[in-house]
Amino acid sequence: MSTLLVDGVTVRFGEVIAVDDVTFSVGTGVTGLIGPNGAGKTTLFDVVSGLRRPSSGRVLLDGHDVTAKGPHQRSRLGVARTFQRLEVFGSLTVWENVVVALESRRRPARLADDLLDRVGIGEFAGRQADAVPTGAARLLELARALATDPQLLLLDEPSSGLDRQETDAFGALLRELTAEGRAVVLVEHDMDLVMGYCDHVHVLNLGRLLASGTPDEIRAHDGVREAYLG
Amino acid sequence: MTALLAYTIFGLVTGGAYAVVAGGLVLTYSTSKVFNVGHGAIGMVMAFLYWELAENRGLPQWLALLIVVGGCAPVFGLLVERFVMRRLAGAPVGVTLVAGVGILVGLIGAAQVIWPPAARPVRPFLDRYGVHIGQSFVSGHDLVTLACAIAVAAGLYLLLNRTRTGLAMRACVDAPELAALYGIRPHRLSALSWAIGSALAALGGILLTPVVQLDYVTMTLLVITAYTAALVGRLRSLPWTFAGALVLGLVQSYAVAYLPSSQFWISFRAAIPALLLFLVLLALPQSPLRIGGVRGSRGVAVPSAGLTALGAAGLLAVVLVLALLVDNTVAGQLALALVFGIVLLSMVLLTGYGGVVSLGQFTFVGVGAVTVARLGTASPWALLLGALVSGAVGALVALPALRVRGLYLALATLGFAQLMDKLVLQSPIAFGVRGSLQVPRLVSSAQAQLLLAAVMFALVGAGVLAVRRGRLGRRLIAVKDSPAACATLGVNVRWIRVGVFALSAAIAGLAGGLFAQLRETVAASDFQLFNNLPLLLFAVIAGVTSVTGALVGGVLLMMLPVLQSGFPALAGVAVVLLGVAAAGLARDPNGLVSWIFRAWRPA
Amino acid sequence: MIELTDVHAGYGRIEVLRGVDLHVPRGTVTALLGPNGAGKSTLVKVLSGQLRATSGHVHLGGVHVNDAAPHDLARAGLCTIPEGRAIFPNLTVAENLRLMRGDPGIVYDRFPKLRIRRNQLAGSMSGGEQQMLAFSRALITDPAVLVIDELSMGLAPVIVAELYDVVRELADEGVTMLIVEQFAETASAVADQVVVLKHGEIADDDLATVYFGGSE
Repeated sequence: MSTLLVDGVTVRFGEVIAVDDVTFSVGTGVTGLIGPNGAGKTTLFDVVSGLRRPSSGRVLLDGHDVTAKGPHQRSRLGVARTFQRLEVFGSLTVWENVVVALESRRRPARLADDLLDRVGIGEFAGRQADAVPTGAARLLELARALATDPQLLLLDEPSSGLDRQETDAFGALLRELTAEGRAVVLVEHDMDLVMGYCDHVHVLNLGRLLASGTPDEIRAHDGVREAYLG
Repeated sequence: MTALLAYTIFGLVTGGAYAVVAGGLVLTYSTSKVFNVGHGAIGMVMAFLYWELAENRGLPQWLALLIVVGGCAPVFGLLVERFVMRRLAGAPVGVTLVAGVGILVGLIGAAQVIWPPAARPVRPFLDRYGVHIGQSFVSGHDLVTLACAIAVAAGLYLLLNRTRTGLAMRACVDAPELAALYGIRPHRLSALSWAIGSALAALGGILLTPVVQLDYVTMTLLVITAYTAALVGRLRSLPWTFAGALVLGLVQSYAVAYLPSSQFWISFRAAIPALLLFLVLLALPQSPLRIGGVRGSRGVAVPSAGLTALGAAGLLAVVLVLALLVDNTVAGQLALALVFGIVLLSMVLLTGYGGVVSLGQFTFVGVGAVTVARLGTASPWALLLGALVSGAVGALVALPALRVRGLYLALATLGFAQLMDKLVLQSPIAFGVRGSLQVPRLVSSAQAQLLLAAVMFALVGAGVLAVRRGRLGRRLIAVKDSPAACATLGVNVRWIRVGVFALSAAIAGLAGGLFAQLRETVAASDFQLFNNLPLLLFAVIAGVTSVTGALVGGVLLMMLPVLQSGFPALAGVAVVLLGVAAAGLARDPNGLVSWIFRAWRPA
Repeated sequence: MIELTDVHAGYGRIEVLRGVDLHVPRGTVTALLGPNGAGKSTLVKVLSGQLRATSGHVHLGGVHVNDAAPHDLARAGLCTIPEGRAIFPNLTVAENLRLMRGDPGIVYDRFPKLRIRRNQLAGSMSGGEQQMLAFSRALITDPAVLVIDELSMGLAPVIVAELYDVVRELADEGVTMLIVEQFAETASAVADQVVVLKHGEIADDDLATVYFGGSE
């Protein structure tokens, strides 16, 4: 059984259709969700994490319909996410950011240091979170999401703001996370990362699902090449 | 039938005056995104100015009206826009609100200095004319009011729909950054809208004067009605605002005509605008969780548990020494300062940590005080019960009100405060027919009262700091910075908000109980709606993010009436200065205290 | 005409543009491509005066414009069409056009759909129609310099083609243009020069490498 099933989801903003009848499933491993700007990727993340109700369609987690559940309830069912436009708690320290997440799931605060070290930003622990570089803030969002011990992790452009070395370290971390049995969905523009680490890729264009397949299949897909290179 | 006609006409006339005021409010808000809490105060001062010219100096009415509405008011609006509002572009709602409160309090202070309290009758316009419609008489002034409302509606419609400037204004409302790319100069339009907005506040104020009397506070707060009308138009649609204003005028007029005239219904009638304000806010759609962008603020450093204990001990020691040195009067005043300090502690929790701006915090003080006074016993349980009742009321308000955020939430708290003011605190329900109650004291002497207040302040202060250092405090701040992220991490954002609102109300209620015992006699006049505004002002000026700020603010709040009774003129000046300080300080949420801290610890 | 010299810019502590040099000669078209987060929109904001460069120089037509306000640049003949739906949604189509100070007839002839919808609120139209309206400003204001950010974002290929027909005509008329797109698409077909922005710097990668990774 798949971890996540997005079933016929449509999202309308007034007259504009941002996501148009999209259906796909996500199992364990890394799933890429790619497509041009405005394709509806972040909107889909909002729908899956519960921040936005779809105009129609359902979201199923482990076979259970969670469409009507709020974001905090979905978090308790094992969904966690990061944000493309950063949402760190700027008034708190980096360490406190992670502790808030740990405490919301009744996990001990002492785990925070390990989590920060794991994503590689242990050195920033005591800094106020609105004063760290973008890359570190992205990794902080990842550490914070991991603090809830998620089964399904939605990462929205995690590599933007990371340098080459940090991106490689992030890739290695991705492998570890999937080895732990977690499902990861990756919205990403760094194609090295997508093609190198994803087991499966879904391509969105203009709110519709354009193609699904392995990275090699996607690379060879005519429609995808057209959407990207014209 | 003719009675209905008469009340309809009267309602339309009042509604027309509201519409003029509300139209100005919507115009300034929509072009500058600053909700001017001081809009009514501008109308008040301009009405006083009109009295000065037309009644005191004997200028013809039309000339006085022209000078005030066409000259003084627009110029004042321009000055406010240029020197206060422009600096607040993009500032958080709390900041812009406090700047507005600063203007309001400053203007009231200025009016009190320039025009000391006295009866100031204002002649209505065209008082020798009028028409009979059926059996009801419509005075010349009523006709002038209606004509003005129609002229303003038509004028604004033509400006916004038929002129290039108006088109550019509407474009700025829609998308200010894009408007600049079109070559539109946003500052000019904002200045123009503030000039027109102030002129409309003045016109509305002058038109209402013969109806409501020339008074500093009544006229200033009368605009809550205008706020309601503006909210009907979602703060942007002028037609809806005008419709809302007319409906309000009619409802009020019919209420006078057809509701029974028992005591309760009299209170109810006065509460109608606030009730509608609250209902309109509740009808607004739930604010979505905003996503995108890092926000953070730098609070003053949070002291450790040890340092907190040391501070508390230090405070108690100082108070003990003072209690031995000063006489009863001063001891009472110091105790009052500490009690006000506790009220401000409740705002540290709610506004400083939680980021929720409340314009109704003093109302919870009233709830606590009434509870303790009504219980009539001197046991410590009375204080606790006062806090509990206040906290419960807080939770009850928070449940519906917290659906909305930011400005709307602040206005909802103001609506709630007025509702409580009219229905409970100012009615016999609270303080009986005589309007005052005796309160037995837990401890008798003024010195003991002072020590009790100090112990309570120390306990609550330490409690607030413990919250900040702990799990709840982290969550509160996390919810303030990013509700969306909190929700996706499993935090139930709604309950955190309701919980902190209730807790903060309970602390204010505790302070209310102490206040009642300290005063021995509490009266309806101690808990007037207006008191809410200086409270927020002092909280922000002294520093709403720290316990020290609360203490400093408490002392300042206590000093104000002392100054007022001893040196009224000086107090007026002090209030003006406060207003100016708020407008200037509004950008630093840590207030005066952070300056002091910085001076001690040069970085 | 457009000249950026070692331009750095960003938001707060975060630097997005890290020393960009870009030259768009008068009467030519430059396509600026690059992945998300590369700093393309930031560059447009610096050009249009919405964001001040932290260091470096911006010249337009030989004039140093680092400190110019957006409305002054607009009045001097710079037409910027920012990304997203750059229209006033609560104004009607006709009112939107009236703000552009030009003859709406030109627009109506070019995009007849807008004539039909002229009394409709702009925000109630489809994405494609909104973009036509936004793009109209390039048509009727007769700009000296035209900067377009992500013209094709979220639009169906038919509409993109229709808009790019107009871009090509304007290019033939000799309007200096900077066209910013996330993907190559039709932009490079119109352009005299194609520049790729990556990590806030001008990169010399070829397009396939940028979009499909180095492994190809």
